[in-house]
Amino acid sequence: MQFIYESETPMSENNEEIKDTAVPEQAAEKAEPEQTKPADEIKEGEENDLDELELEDFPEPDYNAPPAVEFENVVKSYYLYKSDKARFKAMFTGNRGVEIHPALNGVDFKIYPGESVGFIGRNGAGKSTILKLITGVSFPTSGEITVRGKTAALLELTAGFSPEMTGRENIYMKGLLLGLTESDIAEIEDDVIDFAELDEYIDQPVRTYSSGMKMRLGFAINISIRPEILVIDEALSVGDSRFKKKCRVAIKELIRTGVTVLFVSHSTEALTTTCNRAIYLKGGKVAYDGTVLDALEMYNQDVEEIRRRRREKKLEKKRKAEERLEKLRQKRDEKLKAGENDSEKANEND
Amino acid sequence: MAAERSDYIYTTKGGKKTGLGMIIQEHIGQRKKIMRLAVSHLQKTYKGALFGPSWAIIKPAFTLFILWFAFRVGLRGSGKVNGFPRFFFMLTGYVPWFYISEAILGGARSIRNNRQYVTKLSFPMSNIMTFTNISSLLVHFVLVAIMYVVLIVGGYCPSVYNLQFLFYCPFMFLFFWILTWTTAPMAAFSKDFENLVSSIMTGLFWLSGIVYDTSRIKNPVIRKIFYLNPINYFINGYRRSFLYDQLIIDRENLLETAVVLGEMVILVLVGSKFYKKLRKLIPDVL
Repeated sequence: MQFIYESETPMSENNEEIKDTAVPEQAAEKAEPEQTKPADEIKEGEENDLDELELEDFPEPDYNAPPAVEFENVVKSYYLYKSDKARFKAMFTGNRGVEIHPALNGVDFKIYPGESVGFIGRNGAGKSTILKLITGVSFPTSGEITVRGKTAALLELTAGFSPEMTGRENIYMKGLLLGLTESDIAEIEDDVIDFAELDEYIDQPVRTYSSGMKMRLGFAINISIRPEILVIDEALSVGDSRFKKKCRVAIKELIRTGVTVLFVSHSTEALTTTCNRAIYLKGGKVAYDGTVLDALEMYNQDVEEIRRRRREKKLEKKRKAEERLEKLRQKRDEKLKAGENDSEKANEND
Repeated sequence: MAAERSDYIYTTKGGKKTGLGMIIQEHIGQRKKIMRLAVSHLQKTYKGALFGPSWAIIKPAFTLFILWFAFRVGLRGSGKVNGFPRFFFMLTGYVPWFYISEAILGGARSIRNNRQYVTKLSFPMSNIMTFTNISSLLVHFVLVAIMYVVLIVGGYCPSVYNLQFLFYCPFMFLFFWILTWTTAPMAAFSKDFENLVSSIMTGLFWLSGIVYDTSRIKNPVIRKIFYLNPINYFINGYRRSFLYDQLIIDRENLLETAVVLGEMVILVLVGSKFYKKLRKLIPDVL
């Protein structure tokens, strides 16, 4: 089995689950006609949401293909320059003696085509760093990354737009930036304009667009390039609730066609309904790689643990503060009493 | 199920390339994108203005007009340089200088000014330097056309030697483009370097033979030292093509050409090293 889980806490139940899901993988072709049915049903329904997509609707991941995303012992550390002077010096000394902040310490995973993987972790666990590395914006300090397939990142939707150019020109521009050929772009142009609902605005300069319009255009381009790997950050917000729903439907359609999805979220809801695998990151390492529920459980346990510790710390602090206050009060009382009445003080001493 | 998969692949494996190899690879098949970006860069620089990108031409053209007024109308007796009226001498110096100063300054600032391509998109960083330089070059072409008209009116053109422009212009572009391999990543990494570049620009202007003829300097040592200045070489190259009707290489500038070529090789080596070193760091620090 190519699917190897490297987790700190191996779970026997979990392994069985994996086998269960992996068995029908050979019969993937047979399963296909079945998958089209629910797709039609959902299309007809009014309230189709990403949340309503059942895991059974997901196409089987193709474990025989080379992995779509492959991380091999990836280490990423950021240099923290104390000052501009240190930075200037570092240019010539090669970052010697510069403080390092490790974001990822040896991350290993393989994601196969068609899998949808959720990344869970607290802030600073390295989720965004991983997404940045996958999209090729940032580079690993050591280790190797391989990404096979056209990647669309729903992270920075408006990045790369030139405000002086029209929407249509920007579609071309962004398409070229994403690595498409001109004929490819010409093909998707109408789809993009349709999806973004820009109508006559498409020939206006982008600087006249509202932020919502820009977002819509950015989203439409990213979704229309027919990506094979879709990187989604949950913190994404696109337009009003109606358009948001449209986006979710579009994402869902893509998932159904067998796109590899990488999803960053804190929401249990969204994760359990969108992903069939989760990677829990903790301190820049893969703490758990397996089913979503187990990963979430671990995550919640850790969060609970941290909350509990924090609460204890708070209580401790409070206790200390109260103790101190009590002492001060006693001192004050003593002084007051001493000043007021010597005899009373004598009595107390007794 | 995604039956057909495209052959898009992104990998950090095999990253043992030199900076030069990285830059060359980043440019393969990017011609259209770079040209489009060059034009949009011009539009961006002069956005919101009624005349738009034509300001890129109006500004230097105005300086040229002042030159004309000062040396042809005002100071009529400003004398001759190298046997040519001072105005035409300065015109042929100023036009390449406008490009050179723009290429040095704009080139150094290019990555910082286009940081969104680096920090938010997976964009080949060296292409930023290229399209910035090309957009300066587009302005330069227009200015050369204006200069040519003036020279024809003045009676110094056309001549067969004008075709030497086809050598000097690409050579000049290549030289200052290679220079940005070093300056742009460094300026992106540290703002101090950018300030350093912009503060030496005025010095460079006066140390290059724009307002005076460096080949007429009496002291032979100082005259030789000027050979180290590539700006001087290119400006005199323009004069050779448009004013002096001199060949690209003759006994007079043989050494100078060799020096500039040597400098270019050094710049390729240094630039390649810096690019490789800073390419991976810049997205994190910008």
